[in-house]
Amino acid sequence: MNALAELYDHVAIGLSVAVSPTNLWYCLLGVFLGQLLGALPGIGALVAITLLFPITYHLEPTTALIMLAGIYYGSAYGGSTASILLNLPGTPSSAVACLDGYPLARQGRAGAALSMTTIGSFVGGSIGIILMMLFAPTIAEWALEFGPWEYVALIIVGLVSASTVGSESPLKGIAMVIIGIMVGLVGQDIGSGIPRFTFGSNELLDGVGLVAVAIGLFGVAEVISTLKSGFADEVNQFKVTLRSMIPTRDDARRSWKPILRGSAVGSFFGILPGTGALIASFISYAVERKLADDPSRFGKGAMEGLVAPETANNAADQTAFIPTMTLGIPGSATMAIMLGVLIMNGITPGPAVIAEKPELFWGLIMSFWIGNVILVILNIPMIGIWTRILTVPYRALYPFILAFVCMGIYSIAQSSFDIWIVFVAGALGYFFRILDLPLAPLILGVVLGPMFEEHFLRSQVLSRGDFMMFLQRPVSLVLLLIALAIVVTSAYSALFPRKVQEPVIDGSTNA
Amino acid sequence: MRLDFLCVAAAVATSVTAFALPATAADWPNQPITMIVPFPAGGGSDPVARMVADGLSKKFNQPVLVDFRPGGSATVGTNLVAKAKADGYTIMLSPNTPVVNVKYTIQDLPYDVEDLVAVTQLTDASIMLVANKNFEPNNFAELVEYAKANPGKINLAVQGTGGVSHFAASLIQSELGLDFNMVPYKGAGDMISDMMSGVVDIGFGFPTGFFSGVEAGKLKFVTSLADARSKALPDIATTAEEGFPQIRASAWLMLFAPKGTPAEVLEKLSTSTNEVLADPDITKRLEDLGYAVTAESSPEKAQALLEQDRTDFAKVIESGAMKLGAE
Repeated sequence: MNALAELYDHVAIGLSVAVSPTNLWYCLLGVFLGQLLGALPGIGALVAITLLFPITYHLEPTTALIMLAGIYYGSAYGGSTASILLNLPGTPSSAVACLDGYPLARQGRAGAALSMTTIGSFVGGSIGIILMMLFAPTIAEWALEFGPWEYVALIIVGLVSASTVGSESPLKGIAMVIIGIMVGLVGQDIGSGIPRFTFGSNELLDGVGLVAVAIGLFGVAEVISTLKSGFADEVNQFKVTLRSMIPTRDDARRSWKPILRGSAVGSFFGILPGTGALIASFISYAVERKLADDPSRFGKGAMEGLVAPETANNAADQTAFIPTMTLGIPGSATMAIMLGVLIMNGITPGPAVIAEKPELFWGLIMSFWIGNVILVILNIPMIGIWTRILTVPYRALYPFILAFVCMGIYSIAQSSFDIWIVFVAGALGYFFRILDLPLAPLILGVVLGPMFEEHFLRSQVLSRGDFMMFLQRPVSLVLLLIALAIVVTSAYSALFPRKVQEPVIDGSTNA
Repeated sequence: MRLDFLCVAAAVATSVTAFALPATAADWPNQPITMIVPFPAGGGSDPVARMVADGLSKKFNQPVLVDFRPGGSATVGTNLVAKAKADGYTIMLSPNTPVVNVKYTIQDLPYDVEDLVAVTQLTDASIMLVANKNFEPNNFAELVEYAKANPGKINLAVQGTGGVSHFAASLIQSELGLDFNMVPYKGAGDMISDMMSGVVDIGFGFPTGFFSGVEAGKLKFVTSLADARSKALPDIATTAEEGFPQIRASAWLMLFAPKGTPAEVLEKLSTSTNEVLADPDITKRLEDLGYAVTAESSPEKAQALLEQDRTDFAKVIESGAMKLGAE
């Protein structure tokens, strides 16, 4: 009871801070701008935050953080919108939302898809917040146990499951993962500083921009193939009715378990410093595909395949605050900026700050909740407006798509070089579509390849080239066994396919 | 095509300064100044750049625009300044990497580091040697003893090949004949996390990055590689105080201008910047961020410091302790 009373106190302190008119206003401003900027292709949380960062110089630290955090998780809500409607990933972590979200929109179900992702995002965010309220310090301690060996093992699990994302053929999946890894390795080697695959270009020293690749592969390739097939049949194909916006009973039945699983996966990956939300969305997609009764529906408009990853990236965005707030570890560039706001105000994040400045820590957490509620309220009426975009004839729409893509990408680093990357990626994406090769594994390869290399290099430098460390550390051993199990079950079902296609009721593995 | 048009439009919009009116040093500045920062917005130098630019804008009654141009390990933005017209309307705010280290870390550099001259020093920051709480030595002298007794056993985190932590570690190795196991890191997040859990024993960085870990009882400050003790950490002795004056590393931020910028312009920019930095409010905000403020710099002093750092860096490279490129 004592712990409960304490929690009640914390919630009360937090709420009293979060609902003050100033904080409420900046929370609203943050989530609104985050949602809006997140929906624009290329402008993710980082760009949005850096644009608005100067405002924080004149704000109280708590208020500043509430606003920046609002932009951060607000952009995760907005990110999926363009993915679903136009096959344009607004943020890298919503690239997965293209896979099933866009087919749903093509089937005239964009409204339902947006409604379900809003609900999923809210639940995922809420579960992340609850975890943070109850266990933040414990979780942070536990996350420290993840050394290079554990990361290597975890990334292997990710890469193995990636090959099952977005294609019936594991071989095609693996091929695309490898291409992705090669793209990811462009730039300076972290050990020696030697440039690789840069062809003498200094612009490529820091690597190929992930956002540019994702937008090119999905969005620009989509524009090319639509232009190729002609516009005639595109005009006014979609009718927006109120009915099409409300998720069906079937949607709800299919989605509640994926939402819960997505929350779990997302919360877990968010805690680990790094690109948590992005990996979480891919892994939760792979999980749903594995568990589905009929995996062949994935990639053709499966609601589970959209809702689970969107839930996961919102949960991850919330739990990502745990290492930052409790240990001062910046998990991403965005988190580093928020850490900077605290430091600039003479506040050192850590266990002490939770005890000494409860109004800051709990005020921030309660503002998360308020922000999530605001996002749901903002989103529901917006869905009607967003879906109307689809009634615009495509030949009027695509110049705007390309213009927004260029502006968004250019805004990241004021570099026209990145725009060329988008269009090269777009041409490649179109080529891969013709060959029926899955694009999502490529994106995951781009992200995980360099991460794998970095952690693997580190693990080997630390253990002086001894591979046994992977098996001696329990967490890494368990993760490697999971990866092995995935390979074995996939190989087994590929070698011994079920002969008769019997009606399946329970979950079964796919080939 | 449409794409070309957009690229051209974007390029034109951002290079308005290219159409600068002919200016003489006497009435400088009579038009907006662009301050290029070759790192991403939101990075470590972001607040300093904005504060200084804001102060200079007021002083000159001309906008000083901060333009973040990241990419190519900071060479993309630096190249823009190196190639800009030397009229004082394009300047750069930067740490040492793109004007000192790049000479050795990047092949086919598009500019010569000598194409830029130092205008004035803005800040200095203490490079601290930090260790896991359970690491035995508590000060630098003890660390040297320990390292001699355990060659190659100490795991040392290096964040960024050719960067300041790589330099500091290599300097200690070459000057004192020690051998560390250097573990490469890209980002601060992974590094701090591994230092806290004890996977690596020691690492380098600014004080502010480690306060949380120290307060959580997982890290400890061992020594400072700066010339003087950090204001935030008055109890931590410098390497020089412990009898190792040859072990020093500085992490300044300076303003740079293209070579050939009129001396009067450099002088005026430096004096005005000193006045901006001397404002108690700005001094305090920078100190809270962990910087020491140098409001007494001049083009000569800054250039001398730059040359000193180049010499120190070259020495470590020649000693072979800093492994870059293929071995």
